[in-house]
Amino acid sequence: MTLPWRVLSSPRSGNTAAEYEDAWAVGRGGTRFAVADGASEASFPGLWARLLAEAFVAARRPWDDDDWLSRPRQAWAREVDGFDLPWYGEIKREVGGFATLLGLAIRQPTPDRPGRWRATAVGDSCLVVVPASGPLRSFPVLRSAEFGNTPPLLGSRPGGGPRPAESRGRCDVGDTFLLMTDALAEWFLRRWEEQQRPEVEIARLLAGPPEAFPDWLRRRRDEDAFRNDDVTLLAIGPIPEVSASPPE
Amino acid sequence: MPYTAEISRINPTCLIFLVDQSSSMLEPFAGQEHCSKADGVADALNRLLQNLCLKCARAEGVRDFFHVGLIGYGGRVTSAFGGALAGMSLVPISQVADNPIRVDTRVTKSDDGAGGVRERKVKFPIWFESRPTGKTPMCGAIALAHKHLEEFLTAHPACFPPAVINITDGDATDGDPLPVAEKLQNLASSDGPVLVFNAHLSDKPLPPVTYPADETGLPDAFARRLFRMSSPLPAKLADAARADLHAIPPQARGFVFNADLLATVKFLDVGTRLAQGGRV
Repeated sequence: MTLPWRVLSSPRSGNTAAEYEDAWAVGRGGTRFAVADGASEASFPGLWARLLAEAFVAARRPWDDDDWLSRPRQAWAREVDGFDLPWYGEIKREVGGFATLLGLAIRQPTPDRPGRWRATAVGDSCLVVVPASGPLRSFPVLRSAEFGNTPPLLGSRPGGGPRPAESRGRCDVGDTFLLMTDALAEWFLRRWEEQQRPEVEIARLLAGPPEAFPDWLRRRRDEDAFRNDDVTLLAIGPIPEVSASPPE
Repeated sequence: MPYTAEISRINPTCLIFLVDQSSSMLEPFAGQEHCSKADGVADALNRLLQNLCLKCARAEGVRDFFHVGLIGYGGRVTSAFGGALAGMSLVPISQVADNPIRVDTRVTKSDDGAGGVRERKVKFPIWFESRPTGKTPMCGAIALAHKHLEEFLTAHPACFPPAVINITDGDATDGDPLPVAEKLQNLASSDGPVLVFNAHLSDKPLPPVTYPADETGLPDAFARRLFRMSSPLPAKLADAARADLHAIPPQARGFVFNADLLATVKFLDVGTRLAQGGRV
């Protein structure tokens, strides 16, 4: 039986849905997951983020090396190299698209062996593991103060690139995995540091109707210094039981 | 907290460049015999405008996060935009991007990683061409910037405070610029006062004074006057300046004196970091 998963997403306030530059993907029979955050100032960042996330969840062994990047890079170039662009578009296109990537593979536990998860990350999109019992764990960012304006990024043109961070852990029945792009991740870690239990608030949000998400975001931006940016949450695993009260 | 407003399409900010076009700008920078101050500044400004356009460019076009003014002062005080933008006062950055006078192709050389040199052709749009002549009517230029900003602030009262960057190689010849600059600095949005920064260009081989916090070490009354005309750097820009220089004191002003070409380029870069420090 595959793990349940759910996505909540919203563009930056003031932008349209077409201007949303995050991406998410699920693949390999619901065992591989990814979120990506396109860098706004790069060339066609939303396209690159989508191709990157989709390629990661489809790749056989993306941890072995970065050969799997050649397919999304070629797809990006095929799509944009033929466009007739003004001088500024040409300069940006030559440099390429850029995005963060957070990828996760989950092997569920069976009676014969424990479950495992394995994550890879370039940039500041974050995984938070909410275990059925025990402390939360975040990767690759550990503290809210670490978020900045220049995270490492994967580029759509061939050659070089930052070395991904990797992490692994045990997967038990009842564990929940939250993949978040940086604005939500920064809020989550800050609330966690303030001992405000953001995982409970996220659980309430996931249990509620998706149309409540934009209002919840608006209140967070007004009241909690939640940074105005595209927001993506890909939640995997069971949602804990919550009270009848709606998210604040 | 001041200087924290978000810069967006519905809440743009403004950058105005005041460019000395007096005849002395035809002289070279110290140590740069083949580059006049006028040409060096023109190149730096065109590159800065190019970077600003790229910063604001998205797949669907250039987003109007900034309105830009370019005022030349020499034989007369006037808009220094050319081509389709000639005579315009404040221009949304999308119109700047779509209307350079021309787009040159320049050859750049870089290390090819194998011990050789790689040549690449790069596009270099031109918006400003220097035409030095006459004296230095700096007061008139500052007053014109004041007029433009009064109108801009009426339309955008909550904007990130506009910045005026004055580039000159000599003292004003049309009066005392200090009270005119103070009047400009008294303009404000709800996010803080207008920022006024000054770069003095030198043809003498003297070390530049960069981002001073007080008048100690300034050589003469002219330098002290420009210092008093300069606003303290907001925290975001001070951090950007520290990335390039070793020590920026608290209360450092946006001011450089006796700048050579390199110091001028760096100063312009820091002065417009409000575009680069945050996510637009």
